[in-house]
Amino acid sequence: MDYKYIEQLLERYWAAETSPDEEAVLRAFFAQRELPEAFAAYRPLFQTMQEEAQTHLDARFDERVLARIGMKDEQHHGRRPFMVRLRPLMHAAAVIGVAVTIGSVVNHIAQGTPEKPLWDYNAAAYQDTYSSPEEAFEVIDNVLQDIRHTYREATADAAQTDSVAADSSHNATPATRK
Amino acid sequence: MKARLVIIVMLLVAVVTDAKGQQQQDFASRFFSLHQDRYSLTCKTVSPAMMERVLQLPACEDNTERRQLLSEIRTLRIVTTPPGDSSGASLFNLAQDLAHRNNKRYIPIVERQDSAIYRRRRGKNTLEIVILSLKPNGTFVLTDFTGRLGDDFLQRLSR
Repeated sequence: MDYKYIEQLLERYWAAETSPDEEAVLRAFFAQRELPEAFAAYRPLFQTMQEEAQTHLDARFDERVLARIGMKDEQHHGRRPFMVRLRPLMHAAAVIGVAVTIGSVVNHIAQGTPEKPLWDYNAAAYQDTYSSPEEAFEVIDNVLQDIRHTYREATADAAQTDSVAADSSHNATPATRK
Repeated sequence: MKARLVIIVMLLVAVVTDAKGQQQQDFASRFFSLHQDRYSLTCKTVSPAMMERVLQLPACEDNTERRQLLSEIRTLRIVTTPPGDSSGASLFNLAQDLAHRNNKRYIPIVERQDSAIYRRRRGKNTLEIVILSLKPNGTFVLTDFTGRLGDDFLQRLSR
């Protein structure tokens, strides 16, 4: 058998001039069971190359890596974790939150602090007992007279016996201030 | 992720707090809701809408001083016990306790054995005046005004 072609390929191989196809020919040649003695010495080299060329990632490699970083492969395991699926919603909420905060700050700067309504009760919570304003007026008038009497009595007592509780200096009326 | 959750929770709290801050309960309403089940209490109410109508009555329009005084009042509630009811003194004490427990909100102007007056302020404005009274016949009367009441509202009233 003529091995000149193989010898030429080898020579070119040592000179790093072989193409991938030619290297495949060499690997195939050295994979034979029986080799001429002159070429036997090169067999381990090409066998190693052959084995390395056939080395691939494990079939479960992707799965193991995804599991390690907390994500499962969708194709193999179906649904993604709940928090991962919520992520777009979280992003949207965060963007809205930041926008509202910035808007609020800009509004405050532009208009100054808006004054809260002074009367802060719920008007809807007041259901009228009286159906006519005349009736309501009569009651209010009586109440005001009653309070006038109570207030006069209390402040007069305070002036005489000093038994009226002290209001804070800021809030007290002159009549009751200690 | 945690930072975003914190932002969202803070925004929700701010919105809820703001909404809540716009609806305060007056003293009379609070007292009535606390004790109406155990005691025989009556609560009479004049709403802001009715106060507007009262101001249009000839009796108000002809009297400038009275009109000025009434125009500062926005609502009125009167909580009373029936005449001769024996629980008047207890209710008077309970109302004082409620005012004392909320002493940052209701500042005492007058406190006596049978009468007390408290005021709720915001800044320089008086928003609410609460008058507690225990009549000689044992009747308990709680009167609660809300509105934009002048600092000298009670003095003007007593003239």
